[in-house]
Amino acid sequence: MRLTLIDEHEVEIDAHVDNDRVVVTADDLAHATGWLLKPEGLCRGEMCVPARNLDPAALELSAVASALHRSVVIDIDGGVAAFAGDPMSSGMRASIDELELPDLDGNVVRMSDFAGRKRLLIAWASW
Amino acid sequence: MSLDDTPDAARPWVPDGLSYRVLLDANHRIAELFGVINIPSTVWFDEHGAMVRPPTIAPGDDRWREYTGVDADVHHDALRRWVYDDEIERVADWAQPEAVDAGLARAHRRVGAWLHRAGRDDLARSHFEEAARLAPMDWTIRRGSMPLKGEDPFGTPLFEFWQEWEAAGKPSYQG
Repeated sequence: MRLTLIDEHEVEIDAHVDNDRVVVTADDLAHATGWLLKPEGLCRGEMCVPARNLDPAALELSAVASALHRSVVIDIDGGVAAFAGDPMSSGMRASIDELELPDLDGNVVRMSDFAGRKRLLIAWASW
Repeated sequence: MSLDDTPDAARPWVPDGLSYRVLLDANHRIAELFGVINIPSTVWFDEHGAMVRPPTIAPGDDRWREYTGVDADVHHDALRRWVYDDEIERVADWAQPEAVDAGLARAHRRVGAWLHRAGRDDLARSHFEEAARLAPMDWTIRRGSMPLKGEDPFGTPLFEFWQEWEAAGKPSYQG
């Protein structure tokens, strides 16, 4: 099945469903989340977490989430899953410099482009 | 940063010629990262990107003053003192005591919002319900999900949520 994985981005990948187990390939996981399965564990940039219980040939999504100390919400019928928590917030309060978000036309804006200046975040919504 | 679900929901409220950027945070990452759980809020960051003042309710004007209890001039003045004089107003950090399962609640909200956009409201509903159950006093979840559920965020559902929130002692609210 096709599965949209929501983390920092929303990426559609292939997934294999076996009862309520959702299995993805290591390549697809890396593509969707940036977490790369290496001999030393799951790694993203400089950071690695132990992942001894993961089967490199068939990564079960909930086992990946456990290794990352995050929960995952999976809707198999809808073909969508989201990890709980934010990929940027690993224990310590994040710097806004690492955040990237799209403007209303979809152009990605990096907060680090405004580094060296004070920044005011105004959170609002139509609701 | 708009916490709306789509650019089109936000666009009518964005005037031309603004001197600042308007960004879309449909997945509510700023809730996760900085503790923004209500709107309108402001968060201050210094030149190094570090948060120097946590989220604070900060309406642009006094239109809803009766409800918010916040005088817009007060936080505008505090903002000027920070920008010009580096004076940082101390406020209580209410970003910390959030619902234990807030992260999981937001993941359900994200999945629900995605399903809504995909035209699967039948599947989305249970995710919004689970998000509300896990983080019942989070405005970005409770009120923010109303338009996605076909509910009026300025009508009866808001009134009912307001009563529920008031009865709970208005938790996580810093004016």
